[in-house]
Amino acid sequence: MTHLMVEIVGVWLVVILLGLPLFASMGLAAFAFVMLGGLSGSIVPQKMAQAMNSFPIVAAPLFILMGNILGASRLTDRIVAFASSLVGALRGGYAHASILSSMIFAGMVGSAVADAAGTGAVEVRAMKKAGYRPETAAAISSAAATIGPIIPPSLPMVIYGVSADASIGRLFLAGVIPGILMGVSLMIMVAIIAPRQGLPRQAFGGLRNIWVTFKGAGWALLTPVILLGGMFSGLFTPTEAAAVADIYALLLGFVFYRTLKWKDMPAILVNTAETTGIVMVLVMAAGALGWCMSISRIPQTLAPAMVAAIHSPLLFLFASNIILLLVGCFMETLAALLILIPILVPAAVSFGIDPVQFGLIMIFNLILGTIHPPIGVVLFVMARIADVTFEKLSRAILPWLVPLLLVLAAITIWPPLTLWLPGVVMGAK
Amino acid sequence: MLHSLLRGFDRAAAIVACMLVVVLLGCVALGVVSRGLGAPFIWTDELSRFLMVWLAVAGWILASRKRIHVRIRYLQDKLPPRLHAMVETNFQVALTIFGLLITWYSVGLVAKNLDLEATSLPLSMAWMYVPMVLAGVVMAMQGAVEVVESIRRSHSGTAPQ
Repeated sequence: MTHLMVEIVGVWLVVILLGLPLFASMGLAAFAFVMLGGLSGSIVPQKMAQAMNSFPIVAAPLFILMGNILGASRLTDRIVAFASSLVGALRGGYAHASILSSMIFAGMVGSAVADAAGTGAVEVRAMKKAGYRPETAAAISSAAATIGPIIPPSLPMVIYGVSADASIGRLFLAGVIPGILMGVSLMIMVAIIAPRQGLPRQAFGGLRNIWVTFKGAGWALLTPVILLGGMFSGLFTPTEAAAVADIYALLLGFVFYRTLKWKDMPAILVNTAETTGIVMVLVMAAGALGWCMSISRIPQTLAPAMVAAIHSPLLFLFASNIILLLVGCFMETLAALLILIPILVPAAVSFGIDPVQFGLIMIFNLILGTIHPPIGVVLFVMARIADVTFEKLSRAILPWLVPLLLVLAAITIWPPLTLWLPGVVMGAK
Repeated sequence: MLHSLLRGFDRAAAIVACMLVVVLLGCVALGVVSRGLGAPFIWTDELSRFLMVWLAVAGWILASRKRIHVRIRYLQDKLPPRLHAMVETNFQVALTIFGLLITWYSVGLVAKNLDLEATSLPLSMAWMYVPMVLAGVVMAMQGAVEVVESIRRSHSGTAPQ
């Protein structure tokens, strides 16, 4: 059966690259395996439906809904104003404020595209007005948007947790320090280039201004506190925390800020259902194909082979980083995650690498693909917002990849950066 | 006629999907509230899992109708127009076959699970697989229509949309 699966996976990779929708290619590969292997075809729809029959996966549509509600509630102006009051007076203040806003927004939404679309327009407009080159402004906002899925909540972490059987709560906590490091490293980069490019600073509005902008954004700033506080105090599971955060987001939009209208709701709900469908059908098909792979003992064969060939866990992590960075350049984050989890995670576990640390490394690598040509989806969004060509932005983003790659190297080499906080909050496994 | 039927179907699918999102949120929230009040409902977890299957499939159908599923078009877009159209037609055939297979085997699953009851709900487990039948039918029909359209286009010499 291993040989049969290897042949099917070969054909499957070709049709993926030729452009067949990914879920259908995975589903057809699963059907081919069960039928040629003399098994019942009903296994495929059964495994697909069973992939959704899980309470933790319910967190995914609820986090998508929260991102859509907060996006439609137009809270970003308040968050950017608060961030500007804090760090705007530094040289390159608008860029610093842009990065800080993205870090705050990352605690509310769980995807880089949502972060880019949410805060990007406000940040880029402010930077362009202050005299930044449009491509520089767009590059800074794009790089900052990658913090979105690293600081919790995070849609890729929910998908990884469910698919790799890792604790979603631990994954969320594991993202906090790397997310902060990403923000700090980007701010250091701004501090280095600001004097060279003559990036301006804003006038310091004083503590009173900080207090006024904080009051303006205060209710919104409570979102991550409620979400993470509820989850890690043991009050809610991640799924329940997502539901509570949805209701809080509705309160923000309808009651506290009154920026949300009833007529916005159909679009929010349809968008949530569509995004859920796009993501979940991949999880469903990956559930069926993953079952076929485990029956054919592909991971059980590959993992010892990798251990025998590579020997060193560090070398395995280095090789994984290269593979993931390359795959991330050509494939959508969640799709790549679902395809690579059954291959790489068992091998990582065989090397004694914690699946939580490895999850962070996988997500980090694949997220970098969203700000890298040829299919960097965040770059597409930001190029449209900043009104620059994709090619120009693709060149402007390159220096901003350096600090992010350094953080990636740090979390790869030093596990406590990802595993210390989950250990402190949730105890040893 | 066909277009107005399709518009009606899309509208109905969108309304059902929206309702599923709202009910799912309500169900999970009810679980939290009932536990907070010291009288937890035992059925909210299981109902949310049923709703999750339905929502995922409703979203799958919506995304299929709008043709917004994830696919890597990088290589296909580099093909000459004729070859591009030919590859696309073959993909629609593959989608039709996938839809038919899903429909056929999901009907079998529904039949097999009719007598099985959920743990905490007076619901047949067959309801877990009913949406798979719907998704299969929609996918097979859409794939078949697109195959016919692309063949018609290639005969009349018009470019694909």
